[in-house]
Amino acid sequence: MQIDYYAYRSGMKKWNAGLKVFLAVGTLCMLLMAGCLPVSVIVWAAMGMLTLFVGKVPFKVYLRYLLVPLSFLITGCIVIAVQFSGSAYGEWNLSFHFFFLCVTKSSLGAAVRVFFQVLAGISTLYMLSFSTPVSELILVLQRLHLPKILMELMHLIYRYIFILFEVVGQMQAAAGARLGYQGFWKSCRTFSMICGNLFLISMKKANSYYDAMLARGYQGCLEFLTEEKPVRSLHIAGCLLYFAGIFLLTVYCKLG
Amino acid sequence: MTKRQKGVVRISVAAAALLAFCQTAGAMHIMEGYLSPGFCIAWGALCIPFLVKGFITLKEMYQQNPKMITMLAMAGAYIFVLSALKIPSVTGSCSHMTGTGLGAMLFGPCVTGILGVIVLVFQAILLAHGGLTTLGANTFSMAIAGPFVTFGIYHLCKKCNVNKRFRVFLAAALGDLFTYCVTSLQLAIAYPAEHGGIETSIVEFLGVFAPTQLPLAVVEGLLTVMILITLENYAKQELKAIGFMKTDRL
Amino acid sequence: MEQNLLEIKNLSFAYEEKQVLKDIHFAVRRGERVAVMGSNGAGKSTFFLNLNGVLQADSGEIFLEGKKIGKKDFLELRKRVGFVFQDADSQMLASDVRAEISFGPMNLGLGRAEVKERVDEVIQYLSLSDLQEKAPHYLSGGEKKRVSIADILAMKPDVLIFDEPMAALDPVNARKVEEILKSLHKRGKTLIIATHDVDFAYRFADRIVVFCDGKLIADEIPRVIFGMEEIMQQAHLKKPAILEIWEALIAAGYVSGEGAFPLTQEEVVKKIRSVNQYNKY
Repeated sequence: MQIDYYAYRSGMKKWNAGLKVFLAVGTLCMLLMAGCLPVSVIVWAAMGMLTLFVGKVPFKVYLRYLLVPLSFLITGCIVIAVQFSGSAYGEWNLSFHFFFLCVTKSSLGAAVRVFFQVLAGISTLYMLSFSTPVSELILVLQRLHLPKILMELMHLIYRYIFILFEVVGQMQAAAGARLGYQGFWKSCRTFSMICGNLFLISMKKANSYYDAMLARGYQGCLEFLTEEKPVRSLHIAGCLLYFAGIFLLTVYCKLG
Repeated sequence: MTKRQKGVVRISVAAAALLAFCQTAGAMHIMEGYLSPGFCIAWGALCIPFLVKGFITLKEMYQQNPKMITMLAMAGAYIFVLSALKIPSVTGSCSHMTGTGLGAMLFGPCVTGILGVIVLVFQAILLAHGGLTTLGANTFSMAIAGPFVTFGIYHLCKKCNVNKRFRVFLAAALGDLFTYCVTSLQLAIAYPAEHGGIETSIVEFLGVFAPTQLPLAVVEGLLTVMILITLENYAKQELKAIGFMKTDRL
Repeated sequence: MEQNLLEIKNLSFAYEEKQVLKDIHFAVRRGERVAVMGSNGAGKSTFFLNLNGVLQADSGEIFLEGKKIGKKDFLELRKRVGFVFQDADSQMLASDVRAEISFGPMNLGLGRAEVKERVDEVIQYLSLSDLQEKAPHYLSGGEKKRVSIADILAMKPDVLIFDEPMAALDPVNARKVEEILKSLHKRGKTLIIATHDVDFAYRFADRIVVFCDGKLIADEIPRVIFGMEEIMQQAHLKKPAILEIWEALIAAGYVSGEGAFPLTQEEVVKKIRSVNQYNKY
C-alpha cells in the first residue's frame, strides 16, 4: 500500500485532482488510439518524469512498481511474438520435433509495440495514483454524477481496507509467533483461520461502525467538508500543449 | 545456426518460459495499455447489464436496511484484503486468491459484481494490479464471469445433493478456472495469431498460463472450503445475518 | 434545585433475548463530571448508546432539560449528547483529519462557512493543525484519540460521553487526554466518562455511578463510593491508592481527618509537608 503513502506526500498533491484525472485519462485515450511506438515512448518518458521529478516519488520505489506487472507483461508479449505451429514459417523458427516456434517480423514488431504501450500505460496510471489520494479521486467521480451510494461505498471501503489490513497484520504476526506457517498444510490452515476470523471481525465492526455513524448524526448521507484545490492556468496550458504534441506525433507516425 | 547454437537457444527459451511461469502467479489482471480502445469499450459494455442488476439489488438491500451500507462496505474491504494476502504456495512464488468466489457464495453474485468493480479500481490504484482502461475486461472476467460460475455451480451441486465441502471446492475452483479461461480469451481476441487466428492464440495463452493458474485454482478451492469451515464454526450469527447457511452445514 | 440537564427514568434495554440494562435511573446536572465504573459487559456502552439516542430503549423515559424525548426526537438527542467511542478507528470515516472533523457538523445541516469555522476552532483548540491533511490510517494512537474527541467537539454538544478515553494510550497521551477533559470541564461542558482507572475517577469525578450486570447499583460522590465495601466487591473495584494511604495515615494519627481529602499525589505531599512544618514549631 506504498502507493497510498506516497500519494499523500506527493509534490503534485496541490494540483487540482480533476486536472490530474483529465491528464491521465486523456493520455491513456490518445496512447491507445495512436498505438504506435514513438508515442508510447514519449508518453512513458513524460509520465515517468512527471512522477519522479515533480511528484518526487523515490526512484527505487517507482522502479519496483514498474516491475510489478513485468512478468505478466513479458509472458504476454512472448505469446504475441512467438507462435506455435505445425509447420515452419516466418523469419525465425525453432524446431521441437513435434511443433515449431515461429517468429515473424510483424509478430515481433507487434510484441515490441505492445510492450512499450503497456509501459506507457502503466506509467500514466502511476502518475495519477502516486499523486492523488483516493478520497480526491472519489470526489472527482462524484462530480461526474455517479450514483451516490456507490461513491459512499467506495469511500467506506477505502477506509475499511486499512483497518482490516491492520487487523490481518496483527493476526499474521501472532500466528507466525506461534509457528503457524511451518509447511504447506499448516500454512493453509492458518491462512484459512485468519480469513475466517477476519470475516467475523469485519462484520462485527460493521455493526459498531454504523452505531458510531449514527452517534454523530448520520441520516443516510455521507458528507464532508471538502476544499477543492484551484486549477492553475499554467497546468492547463501545459496539459494542452502536451496533448497537442502527442497528437501531432501521432499524425506524423500515421502518415509516415 | 549450428546444431550446438540451436541447442543453447532452445534451452534458454525453456528457461525463460519457466522463469516467467514462476513469477506470474496470482490473478491475471490485464495491464493498463494492453488492450486497444475497441476492446476496452466492448468488454466494459458487456459488463453494464450485470452491474445494473447488481446496483439495483444493492439499492434494494440498502433501502430495506440502511445498516447495510457499513456491512457492504466491510464486505468490499474484506474481498480486497483477501485478494491482497499472500497465500501459502507450493512453488515458492507469491500468489493471491481472487476472493470473488468466496464473495459470490457469501454475498451473492450480483452484489459481488458491484463490489468487485470497486475492488478492481482500488487494486489498480493502490496495488498497481490491472488498470483503468482494462477495467471493463478485468471486471468481466473477475467480478462477473467467475462469481456467476461459482454461484451457479454451487447451487447446481446443491440441487444434486453433492457433499457440501466438495461443492464449495468445486464452485470456487471452477470459478477460478473460468476466470482464467475468460482472461485468456480476452487476450487472444485482442492479439490473434497471424497464422491460425484466435483459435491458435487462445490455445497459446491458455497453455502459457496453465502452469500457474491450474494449481492456483486448486489451492483457492481448498482454502475456500477451509475458510467456510472456520466461518461455520465461529461466525454462525454473522453468516445468518447476511443470509448464508439457511439449512445446510458443512 | 437546579434542573437536570439529562435525566433517565426506568430505562430497560434488551439485545434480542438478553436483558442488558435493567431499570436504570440516572440524572446529570449541567457542568457535572460523572465517572461510570463497572466491569466489562456490565452494560456501560449500551447505556451510553441509549443516552445518545443510537439505541432506543424497550421501556423508560429520557428527559433533556426537563423535556421528554419522544420517538421522533432522537436526532435531537444525538445532536446534544456527543459520544466519543473507545476505539477511535470506529469513528473515523473520512480520508483526512479536516474532512473527518467536519462529518458531524455537516450532519447538523450547518452551512459550509459555519462548518469551516467550527472545524478551524476545534483544530486550534486541540492543536491538531499539524495533522489536518493527514489520513487517519497514518495517525498514531494518541493522535487518533485527539481527533476522535475533536470530531465530537465540533458538534458542540452539551453533554460529552467518553467511553474509556485513556484505554490503550501511553502515559504521555493519557495525560494529554486528561488535560483536555479538565479544560472541557472549565468550559462548562457536562462530562460522563466510563473508566476502569479508580485513581482517575477519584481525583477527577464529582460523582461516580457503578454498573453491575446491567443494573446501576450505586450513585454517590467518590469518597462515599469507595467506602461502600459491598458495592466495591460486587463491581470488582479497588480503592484508589491515595485514598487508602490517606486513611491509613489518619488511622495512625499522623494527619487529621478533618477538611477535604487530598485528591492528587501533589496534594498529599503538600499536606504531609504542612503537617511536618506545624509539628516542628
